[in-house]
Amino acid sequence: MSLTKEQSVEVTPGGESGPRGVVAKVPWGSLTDYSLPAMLAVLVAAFCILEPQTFATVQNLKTILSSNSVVAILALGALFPLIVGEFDLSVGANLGLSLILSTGLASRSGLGAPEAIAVALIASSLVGVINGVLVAKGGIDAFVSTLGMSSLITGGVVWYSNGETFATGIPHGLIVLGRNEFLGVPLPVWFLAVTVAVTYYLLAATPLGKYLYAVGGSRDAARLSGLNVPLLTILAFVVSGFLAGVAGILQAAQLGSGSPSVGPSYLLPAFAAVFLGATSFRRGAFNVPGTVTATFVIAVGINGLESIGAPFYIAPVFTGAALLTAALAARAFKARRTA
Amino acid sequence: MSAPVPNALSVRGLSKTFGGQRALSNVDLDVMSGEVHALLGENGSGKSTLVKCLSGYHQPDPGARIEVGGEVLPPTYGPESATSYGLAFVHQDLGLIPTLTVAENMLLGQSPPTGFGWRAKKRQEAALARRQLTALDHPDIDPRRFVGELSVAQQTIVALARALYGAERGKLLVLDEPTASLAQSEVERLFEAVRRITEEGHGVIYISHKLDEVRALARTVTVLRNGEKVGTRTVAELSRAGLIEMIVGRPLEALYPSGSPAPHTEPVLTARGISGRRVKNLSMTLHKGEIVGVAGLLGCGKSELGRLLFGDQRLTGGEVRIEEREVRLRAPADAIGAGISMVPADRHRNGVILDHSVGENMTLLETRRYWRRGLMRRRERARTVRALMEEYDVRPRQPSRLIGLLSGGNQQKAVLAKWMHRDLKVLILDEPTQGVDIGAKAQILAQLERVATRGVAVLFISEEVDDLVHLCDRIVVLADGEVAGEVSAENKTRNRISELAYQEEVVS
Repeated sequence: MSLTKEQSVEVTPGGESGPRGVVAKVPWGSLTDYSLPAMLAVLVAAFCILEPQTFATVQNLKTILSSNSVVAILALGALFPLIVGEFDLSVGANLGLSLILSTGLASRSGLGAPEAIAVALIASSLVGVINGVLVAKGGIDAFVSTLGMSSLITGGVVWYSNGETFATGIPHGLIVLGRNEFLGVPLPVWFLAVTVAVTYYLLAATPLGKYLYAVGGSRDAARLSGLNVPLLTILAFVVSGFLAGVAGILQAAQLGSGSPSVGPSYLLPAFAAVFLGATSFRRGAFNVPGTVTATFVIAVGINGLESIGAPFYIAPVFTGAALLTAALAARAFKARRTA
Repeated sequence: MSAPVPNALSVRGLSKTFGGQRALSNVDLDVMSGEVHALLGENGSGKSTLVKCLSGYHQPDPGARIEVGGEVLPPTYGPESATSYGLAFVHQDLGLIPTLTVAENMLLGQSPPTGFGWRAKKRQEAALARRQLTALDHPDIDPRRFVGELSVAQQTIVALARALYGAERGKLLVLDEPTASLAQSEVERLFEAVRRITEEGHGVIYISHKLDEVRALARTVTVLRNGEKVGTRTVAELSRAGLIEMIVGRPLEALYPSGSPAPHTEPVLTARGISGRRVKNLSMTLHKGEIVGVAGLLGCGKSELGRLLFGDQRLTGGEVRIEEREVRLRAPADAIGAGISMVPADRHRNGVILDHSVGENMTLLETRRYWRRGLMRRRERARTVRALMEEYDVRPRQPSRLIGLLSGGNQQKAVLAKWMHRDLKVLILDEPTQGVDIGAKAQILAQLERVATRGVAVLFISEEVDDLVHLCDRIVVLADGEVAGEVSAENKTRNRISELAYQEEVVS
């Protein structure tokens, strides 16, 4: 029994051809991979050539960047639970919660922009705490608990807004975040840049990041190495909730209004980006640069296809296809890595 | 009782080889109809391989001949046809589905009676099940109850009834450690059921570690050792000591010369009356530089003892002191902080993170040490990892290689390095040589001796008695969660250990 186990472990993909990375990279053996940024470059170049008038403009670039900052930040949040081996299906609804609170509190209760934003962020983070406790302490499967939470929030949002859109009395301080520029770059893009920097640093350069990946790699081995697995799991959900809150505020700022139906549709694009992102940079592992690049691969793909005349339903089709492709690729990598 | 006429089972020349290693060689076995035939041997002696050859799970090496009730099994026969040849099995994990009813469990995989529209005929199912249970003298078990609601003893009876129902023309029933989780009074009722089965003319193969049970129930005994048959005897002609000697394979005298035991006097870890999931009121002291072995049969609590001392299981009683200071062990982090390391059993699940690199695995405990002024000191860490790979001979020497791609032996050497490369006082190892080749095993054992000379107290938990005997200063033998006895350096022998381990009642 143990013999066969041993043998299967020793099957090294491409390992027989000597030490890797010396002359030519063995395609399956290497862990770093830049196919995703390459794909982004190819897509951008192709649409620039095909549609120089509509696609290749500074304004379009700004639009793509700032409108997709929301998805990218949401995806970076969803990344954390996935790293510890769980997932958070409530990120879309949680974005909606933050969106409706930040607009509604100002519009209906007359709160100032900073206060409304603070309450929204706290609420979204609390959702993360509850998700984390349900999963890590309550032992409830993440699929069930976060899906239930998602439905709960969606219902709560409709109740709070009475199903209507908050369009009046949105404070200037909120709208500025979505529309102003700094050094010629839209503010949402700056927010994304900060989020990328902080999450990348946390995950790649601190012990906390190592611990989160360790929990995702093997919960038992992590526990026996003295890590507080429940606490790390809860933390991952809190980051997810907080960033969903940030994404919701940015979305409110860009729309200049708060609609109760916005949130849930963001779930799939965010997950597609995280999964597609795992195929690049640190291949086979969910990672920050991959997630961000993947967000824009999908965004540019959809934007470009629309500009060359693709029908209006291209967005969900493209996103779904990207998610499925990514999931299949991730599975293949995982199988090769641990075969 | 019907006279044992035709053989229920006749096996001739059964061998089984796994990748060059012989698990069974040329075994003959005869089981009469109407008798209980015990199959004994230490862990790894080939008992379960033999059973798996009978059940069709393993295909025997060519040349074997297996006859059940006079019918020769075809060489290509698989698990699905076992019942049709009249073979029935009850394995240690009973294989029942707790969320189905007794009747549904018994008819699973048969063809249950159905009516119009493929509707299950519940009443008929229940009647069939009840008839089986009554035949085993257990009409008290309601066929409509869920199996999960029954006691373990009742579940065992259901498993028995199901096995017999499957093999309607049953000739041979194989029971693999059926009493492992039963209380004494329940064992007696199970025996009654087994006797009824033999009275109907079935042959029974009974596998157990508990010698007194075997002596009470079986008529004949066959003992295996290292894949070979030692012999078949009738129970009446064997004494308890004679039986142990057959199993262990050596006469009851000291085998290994006693080395001069270095005096270990400075206590490092003292456990007083500790209890946990399996461990009951256990006390022990580990001294500086001492290697203490822990032996015992499967389920005796030796693995749990390691996890208890490492804070991975809740201490329900007693106290643990490290160098006279009491430590509260709520989680592995507490134990690590107190200077305790544990190399856990089941390496793939507990020991390594398969999709992390060798370097990351080896330095997980000290990650924080390489994080200074906000950055990971990668180069410094890589230098440490390379030095450790050299010291513990982890091959290939590639720190960034995924640990899952290394051989079992090299993975384990990396795990050992991870836990030994720190300021530690106590090292606990749970089956450290499991799934490791001979060469790596020798290196691992040598590392244990080395760490002991550093002054570390080593607690070495193992199934492999030979390793314990060779390496340990003394060996604690556990039975049923308690210390059954201690074997000191002067008289540590396989036999002494087996005697203690097989002893059912702890003499207090």
